[in-house]
Amino acid sequence: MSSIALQLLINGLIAGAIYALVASGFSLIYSTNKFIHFAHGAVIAFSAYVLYFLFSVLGLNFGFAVVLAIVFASLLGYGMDFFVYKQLRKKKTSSVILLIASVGLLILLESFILLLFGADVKTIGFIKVSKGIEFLGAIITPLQIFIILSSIILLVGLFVFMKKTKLGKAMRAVSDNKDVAEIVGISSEKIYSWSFIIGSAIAGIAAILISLEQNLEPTMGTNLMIKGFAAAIIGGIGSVHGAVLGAFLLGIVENFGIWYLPSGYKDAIAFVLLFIFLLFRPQGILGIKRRAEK
Amino acid sequence: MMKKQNKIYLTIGIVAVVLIAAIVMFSSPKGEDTIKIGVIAPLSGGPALWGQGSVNMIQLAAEEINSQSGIDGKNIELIIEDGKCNPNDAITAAQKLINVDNVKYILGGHCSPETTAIVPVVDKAKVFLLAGVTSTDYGVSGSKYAFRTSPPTIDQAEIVADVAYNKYNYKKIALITEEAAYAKSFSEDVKKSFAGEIIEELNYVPGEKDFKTGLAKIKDKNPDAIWISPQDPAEAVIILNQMKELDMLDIPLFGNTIFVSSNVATTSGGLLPESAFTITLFTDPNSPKSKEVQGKYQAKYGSTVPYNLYYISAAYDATNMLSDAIGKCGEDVDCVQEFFLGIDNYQGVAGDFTFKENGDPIFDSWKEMKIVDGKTILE
Repeated sequence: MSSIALQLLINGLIAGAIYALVASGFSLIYSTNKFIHFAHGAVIAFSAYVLYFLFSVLGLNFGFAVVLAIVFASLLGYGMDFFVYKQLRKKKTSSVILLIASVGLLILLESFILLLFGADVKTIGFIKVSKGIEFLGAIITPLQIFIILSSIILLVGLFVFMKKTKLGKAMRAVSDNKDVAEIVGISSEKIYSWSFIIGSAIAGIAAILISLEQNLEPTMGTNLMIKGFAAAIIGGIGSVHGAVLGAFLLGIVENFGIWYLPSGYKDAIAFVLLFIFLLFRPQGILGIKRRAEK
Repeated sequence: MMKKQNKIYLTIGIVAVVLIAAIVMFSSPKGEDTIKIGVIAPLSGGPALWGQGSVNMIQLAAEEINSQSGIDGKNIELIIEDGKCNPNDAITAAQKLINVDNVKYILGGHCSPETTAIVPVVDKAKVFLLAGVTSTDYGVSGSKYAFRTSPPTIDQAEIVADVAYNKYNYKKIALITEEAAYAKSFSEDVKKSFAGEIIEELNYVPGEKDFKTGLAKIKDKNPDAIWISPQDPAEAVIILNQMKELDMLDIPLFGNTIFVSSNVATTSGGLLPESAFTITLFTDPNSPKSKEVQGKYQAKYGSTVPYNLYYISAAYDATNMLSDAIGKCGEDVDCVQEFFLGIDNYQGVAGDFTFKENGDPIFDSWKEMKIVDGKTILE
């Protein structure tokens, strides 16, 4: 029986790691920009298709294709900020308008994928499907171990980046109080761009790992975003390592939940958890309860 | 000032009305020398496999009819819409065909979720519908103007349950089911007909990617076999991948015709076990009629018939039966409905057609099917 519990824990960690890959980049962008960038999901989907195109269609070296896909993700995120969000910010638009613009971008990019690649499911096929490794009666594949490790490295890496580097500190400053940060000489526009570049690069990493573990579909971005967003809220919106923790909690609760409940309730379990957090701990796991401003 | 403006608006209005009237008047004679038939089928995504095949057959049949002076001298004009095997898209497509193109006849949907969604729409609009590749129990029954060439899943499920229990001795089985019209209905019917015990059920929503915990639950209960009923072949492949990863492929499998198909066998990279069986509708590929149509299909499209020969050939027969009915009845939909009820052993390519009062065909040519070495084996 304990091997079953271990299997569930592992399944939960795998699911959680995938959510974490989505949620961390999203949360990073939110922390400085303070609006919900739903098109983050489309960045993941598009980068996954770019990887598919470079590796499976053009036949490029896998490592090279991976690097290009991550660079592409960064540029796509930066481009969205430069051509859409920055222009809207210049007009002093509210974060609600930015949110609507991001949903527009999400739909636009998904339609682009549909146009370019068609609706049928694509597989990268870099890793041959084989029996996983047995570990105390539970089974896990090398790729899944790699996914979990990546998200843990991401958690630690982002923590160090935000606390130790100059850019990370500047990001936290803008995140805390944009106006004060401007006074001490931090350009908030620059920080916005950087958070898009770094957040979208993380989306690129997510795209690669997710496209290897699951298959590619034009709407994959939306589906990933739903769970990634839930994870970010559970972890504490705006807190990057909180988002990663929230993602793992979500993955584990889902998988233990469907052991006792029919499998069809998986999404319901996720959203019940989300509601519990919204009702009783709206600031999330690591979020700081802020005093009502003014 | 206001009066002058009003005059301008009035003038614009009159010009617009005259223009619209002119367009309608000049375009309608062109519309009258063809007979419009709407087609709804999945043309994108995994289900395009049989959707495109069916549409190809319909086009083949329509071209043949048109080359032999059409229906009473009028050519058939096909208006083809992508229903995406999805209720919402199918309804949009049906409404477009009915309200914009003014069709009186629709061949489709070619997928259970499409057909179940559009039957109420066509019934209300008094449009005649002849569906294919549609076998949910509640597919067309209860509707006056909807017919289909596919027999309902309950007939198929009874044989599946019987073969599993009596021939292969599966006493305890687990079910994996996609929550979509055909897949769900088929599983429900297997559940109803199976004499043994059902020890675990895994239901998943379309688009699910992670089956690991559900599969672990099934593995823990040690079933004799697992019944798998997907709607989209894409998820069937993911299920096989994850079963392989969890070392579960030694458990015997059986499933619906989407699961046990050469498509799933190929895209999964050969993970579909050769012992996995399904019960399928059978059309003799070597009958002279079938051979002829398969040859024409190959010549026109450069590929073999892509999916179950019965389902795809039935699209050819459907087009011909409908064209016969229109030849006799014209625009009179009630007359077409009676014509179909009166069909007695129409000798088609897929098989012989006779329709029941509820629009279902009478069918009894079932075969057990397996995929061995990428080839379809029938017993």
